[in-house]
Amino acid sequence: MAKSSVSRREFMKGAAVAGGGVLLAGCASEPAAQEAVAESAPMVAMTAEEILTPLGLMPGSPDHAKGWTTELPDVPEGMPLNPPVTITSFTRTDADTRFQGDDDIYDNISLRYIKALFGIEYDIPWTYVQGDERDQKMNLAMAAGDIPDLMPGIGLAMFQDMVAGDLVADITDVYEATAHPKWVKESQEWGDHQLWAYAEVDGRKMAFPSIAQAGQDEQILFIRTDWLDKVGMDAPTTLEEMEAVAEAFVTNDLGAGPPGSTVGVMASRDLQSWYGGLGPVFGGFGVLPSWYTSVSTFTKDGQGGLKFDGIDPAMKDALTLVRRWYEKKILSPDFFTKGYQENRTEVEGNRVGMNYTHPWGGVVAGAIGSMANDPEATWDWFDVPAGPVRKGKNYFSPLRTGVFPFRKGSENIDKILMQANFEAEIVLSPQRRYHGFEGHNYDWVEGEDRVVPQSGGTHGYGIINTRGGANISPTSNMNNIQWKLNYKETVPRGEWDAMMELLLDDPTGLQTMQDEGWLFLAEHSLEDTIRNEWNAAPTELQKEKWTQLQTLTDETYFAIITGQVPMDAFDEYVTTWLAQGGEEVLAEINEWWAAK
Amino acid sequence: MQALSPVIDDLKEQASRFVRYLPRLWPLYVMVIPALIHLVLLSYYPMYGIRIAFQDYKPALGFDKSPWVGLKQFQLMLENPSFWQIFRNTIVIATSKIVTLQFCAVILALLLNEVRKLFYKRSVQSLVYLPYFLSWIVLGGIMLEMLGSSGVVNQLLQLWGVEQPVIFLGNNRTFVPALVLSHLWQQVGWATILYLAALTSIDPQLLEAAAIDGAGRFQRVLYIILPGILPTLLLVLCLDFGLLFNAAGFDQVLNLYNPAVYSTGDILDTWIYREGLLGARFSLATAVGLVRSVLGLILIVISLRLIARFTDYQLY
Repeated sequence: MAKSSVSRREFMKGAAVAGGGVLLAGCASEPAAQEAVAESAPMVAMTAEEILTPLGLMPGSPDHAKGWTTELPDVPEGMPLNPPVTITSFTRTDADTRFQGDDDIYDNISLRYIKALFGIEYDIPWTYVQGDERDQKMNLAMAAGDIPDLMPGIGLAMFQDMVAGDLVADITDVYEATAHPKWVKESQEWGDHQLWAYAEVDGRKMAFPSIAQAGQDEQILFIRTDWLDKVGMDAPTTLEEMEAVAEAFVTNDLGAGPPGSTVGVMASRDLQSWYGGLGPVFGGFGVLPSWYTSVSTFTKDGQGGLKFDGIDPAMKDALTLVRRWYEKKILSPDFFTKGYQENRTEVEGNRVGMNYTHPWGGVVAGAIGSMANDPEATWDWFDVPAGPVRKGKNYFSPLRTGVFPFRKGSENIDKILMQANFEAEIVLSPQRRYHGFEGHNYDWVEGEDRVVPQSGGTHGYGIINTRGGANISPTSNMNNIQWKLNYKETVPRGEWDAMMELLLDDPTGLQTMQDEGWLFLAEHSLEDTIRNEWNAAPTELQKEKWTQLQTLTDETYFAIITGQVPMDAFDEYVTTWLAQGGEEVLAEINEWWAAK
Repeated sequence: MQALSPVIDDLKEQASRFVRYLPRLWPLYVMVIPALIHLVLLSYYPMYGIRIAFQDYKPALGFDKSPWVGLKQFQLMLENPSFWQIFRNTIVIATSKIVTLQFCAVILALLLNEVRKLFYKRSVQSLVYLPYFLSWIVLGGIMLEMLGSSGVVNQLLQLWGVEQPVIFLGNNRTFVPALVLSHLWQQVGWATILYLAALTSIDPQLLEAAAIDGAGRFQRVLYIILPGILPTLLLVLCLDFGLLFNAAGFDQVLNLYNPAVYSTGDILDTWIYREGLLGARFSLATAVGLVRSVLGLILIVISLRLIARFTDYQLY
């Protein structure tokens, strides 16, 4: 295996050279004057390559026979800052966050790259795994009066409170002056300015918006096609056919677990989950359950107002079907105890026949592991089967509820935006060939002109491309896929470099499956989805009532599905839901809708 | 003023005694200082936060800017349709756990006491202590696997002819027994320690005399051993009773419950967690926590009185 060109020793050498320079500057007679000059602008503008190459931090692999060159954008004017500025922020880390060598979350190649290129040092006082943990730590930080400069993914209710508490910087002016007109401003005007719905307060920009990819968490149906062959059936196009296929999987006990443990259709304790959620089953009845979200789902009622699908009569029909599936053991008998990790284990352990999920989930968190454990296993994705009312699933708005506010008083907001400009240009320009760092994101196979992906990868800091962070445009991933397909068609196979071979040859077909799934979702997103029309911060009444109403909904639905109460319990639930404050919340939502 | 004079005299007497003994006892007072600082910093100073229960507190606004709402949070708590059910669940789960645990711990201690092979006795003790040292994060995962539809328990039941898997953690009829039994499994070994210690305090001559008089093993247990450990059992029961609201076990319930069993498994602490931390209603959560603490204090006072009455132990 080829040794990484960004070795620790080389980095240390580079750092020593840079550090020696700083030390010598420190020994000079008039340090203050020199610093002032350096802060205003570098004496000679350097390219990113000139800055990064001596430090071994340049992405790309131009020195290999089948290597490629990454073309980075121009370094923002005045950068790298000297001396560097420190920006406090927090970041997400979990089991998928891995690093190569001695790198860790606080000292890794991304941080070194950012510091070298922009003169920005990120100080990470704390990390989080899930959003509720982040909220708890943020609440503690606010109570202690110690909030970071940049706060990624803050929920709407908290953001609203922070604005009311005067803790958040108004970034309108600095955004207008600093954000790149094409790569940032133009991208964020997608959908007639709707991406700013949460981040703007009274017409002022109070945060950087958080944007997802179009169709990012929408679902398609992944099916074990080898199981379809075994039972001699076609992929289902209706929920009725889906039930028959699932029954056949379960009856023939095709799963790899103990006898009787085959799961026909994956289900999650979060019925609306992006992984194993039954949203498209409910969608087939024209309704969507609303689940574990502070901004709940309210859809058009056909009479000019909004309704809560959770109490719609069609929901009772949908629950009747799910209850029947549970009785028939099509669903796991204890699915309500299982979330993403548990369900992924089931899929990869080859116990599951069908799974509603996103192409990424179906391939990366499903088919790859499943096929590794059983080379006979084959998967493919299909459009969601239609229900008795329609073909429907949750529309995933690229407008995310978590925004990126900045601490009021922070002096470096413009620097963070300058870094964002640079990174946005990379994200939106696949032809620049940014594939990360050798030895971190990929590695060369020793003795061969071939690269393999690394499990570690890199970790983003700042706004763009961070874990759980903001994408710059809802269409960037689509553009990237289209560019790859275009490359495949226009560049002769013999001229491909090693990275393009890795991305396009795709011997297992899984990458292509994932790409095609993405494109399908993006193309059909609007026609097959049910839209949540409520996109505002939760009101005081909602905050007061919603947890209790949601508990009531959860409890009733699961009791119905598992057969602990009769179907008529749904009617009683509707009455109780309305009486316990749901009616008032609905009235408030409709007032907002009418005013809109 | 005359009514107060005995109190003042008493205080004067105490003060003069303190001054008299200080030269001799000052090292002891110095040694108490760290504990006092700990107590003040971590127990008394945080009580400042109780004011949150009377505010509509928002961390972003802080204590000073959050508006005062009087007793509104307590009113909301009592009006919440789930509150009394959750309160009842807490009492039922906690009481079931306490009674089952202490009963089984006494039985286990008596059984262990009868074992004569030391190696066997020590091995059993070590094995039953072991689960106590695992947290509920770990045990929760183990329990979910073991009690799952294709877990080891259901596989055993299948071998014994039970065709349908039992959904222990998804059914309101089986959830609380599953909680109580898994708690028992984790705690029973540890709980026997006290009783084993109490058993050693029983005079062996009594047992020998009883045996000479013709008392069988069961009679010796019934008339000598059980009365001998009764004060310990009462002490433990009273202490547990005082901590009733903790005994339901937040970490265990949080790791094992799910929406299908809210009606029997949701307890005050999990409700506070959902409403307060996840729902960001800190004032309501603090109000419930305050009520819980006040009730806990009352129970502790009652339990201490009961302890004083039924045993020789008196705290104050």
